[in-house]
Amino acid sequence: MAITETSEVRDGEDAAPGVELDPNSPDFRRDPYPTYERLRNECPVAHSDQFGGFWMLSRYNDVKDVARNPELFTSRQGITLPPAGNPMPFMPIELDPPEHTKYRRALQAWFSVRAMEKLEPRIREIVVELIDEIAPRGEADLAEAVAAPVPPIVIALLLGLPQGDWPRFRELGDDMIAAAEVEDQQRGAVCAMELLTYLNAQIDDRRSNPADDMLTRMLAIEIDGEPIPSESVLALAFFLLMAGHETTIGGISMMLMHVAKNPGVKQRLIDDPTLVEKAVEEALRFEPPVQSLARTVARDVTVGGVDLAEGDRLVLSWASANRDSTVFADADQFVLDRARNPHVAFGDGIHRCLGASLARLEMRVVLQEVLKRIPNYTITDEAEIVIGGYLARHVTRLPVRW
Amino acid sequence: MKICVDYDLCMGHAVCEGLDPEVFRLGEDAFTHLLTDPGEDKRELMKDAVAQCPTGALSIQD
Repeated sequence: MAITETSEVRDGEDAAPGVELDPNSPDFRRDPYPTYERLRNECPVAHSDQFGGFWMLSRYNDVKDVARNPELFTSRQGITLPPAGNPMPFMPIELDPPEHTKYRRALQAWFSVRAMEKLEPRIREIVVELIDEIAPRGEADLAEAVAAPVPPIVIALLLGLPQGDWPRFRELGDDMIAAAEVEDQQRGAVCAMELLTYLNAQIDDRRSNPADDMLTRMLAIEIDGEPIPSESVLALAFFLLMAGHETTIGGISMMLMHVAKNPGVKQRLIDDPTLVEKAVEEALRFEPPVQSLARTVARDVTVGGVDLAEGDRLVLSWASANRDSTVFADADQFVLDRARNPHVAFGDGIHRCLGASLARLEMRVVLQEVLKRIPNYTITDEAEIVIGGYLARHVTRLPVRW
Repeated sequence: MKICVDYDLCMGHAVCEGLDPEVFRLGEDAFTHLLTDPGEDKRELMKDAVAQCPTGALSIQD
């Protein structure tokens, strides 16, 4: 694709093809992929009137090009559409350079692949305990019993939140996102305030009782030789808490569902556990929990032949990019042994997911232990599966037996 | 073949290490480090590493 800066004034949006895109429609919620395919083929820079109007990019190269050009496509006006209802910017993902770079550098080592490797034994204990509890029962809702608890328990461990608190912040985060998806700003604001109040109390506690946790380390971050303001500490904690669990719940639950739906894949994984890492990558490609993120046009620009004006909202569909048949052969199949899998489930460019190594680790350990402890799990009834979420897609109900 | 890492751009995603752990390794400092100069037989893989680096921090010198 060509991104070209335009100097002339645009003569209206009527030349651009439109598309009916209603993220809250039951059909789209259940299976958005036919819509994405139509967009890639017929309307790669599509306009929707939803959420105050936005453009959706659906092709792999277009999505990557925009993600790698933060100067023309800013994150400062928010990266979710509809807005997630966060009363303060998500940090650092809703910052632009040079500010973004400074915050990102401060966090770079915290979630690195080396730092995460050290967590593996502890994460395995958490996962094993959850699976062993259900293993004797012969049946369970894997979404509720395994996928939902693991990420909030782990992020609580990292941030230093009391272990027993996770059901509370998990429910508040879930409610905040659900409210945002139906544009219920009042309910979203109530949830956000309660979450911020909770986190603020925890941060305040670390000021007088430093601990070996990320909340304490956030208080010590210095940028340009100065400690960061306390509202930035809160914004960082808020974003790491939200991004650190809502999304991975989707990653784990959809992976467990797709492995069950592909018995041949499951059998190969049982026979050869070294393929688990490839299964994690393919699950991320096939059904990324963060299906898209937004940018805002900073200066008039032409994208794929369509004129966009400063201030226009743009949605980058990672989910659609991951099904682009010009990049992935058999894009609509769950293929275990792809030689290359350059998916964009974690985004691309400077804002690519900080917690990618953590998400991968949690997904890998869950899949390894599930296949070891309840390898014969099968979906009880496909009609009983419930998939929810637009901003953070996940399976909310996955009844299985073994 | 000489690979160059621009440390102003590297953000430690370790995508390169995922593609070829014999050549790239993320250090404890969360920056990518080169373990060896890759042989010519790895040119295509290295081109892929350059293209897939999310922050464009890698280049092939020759």
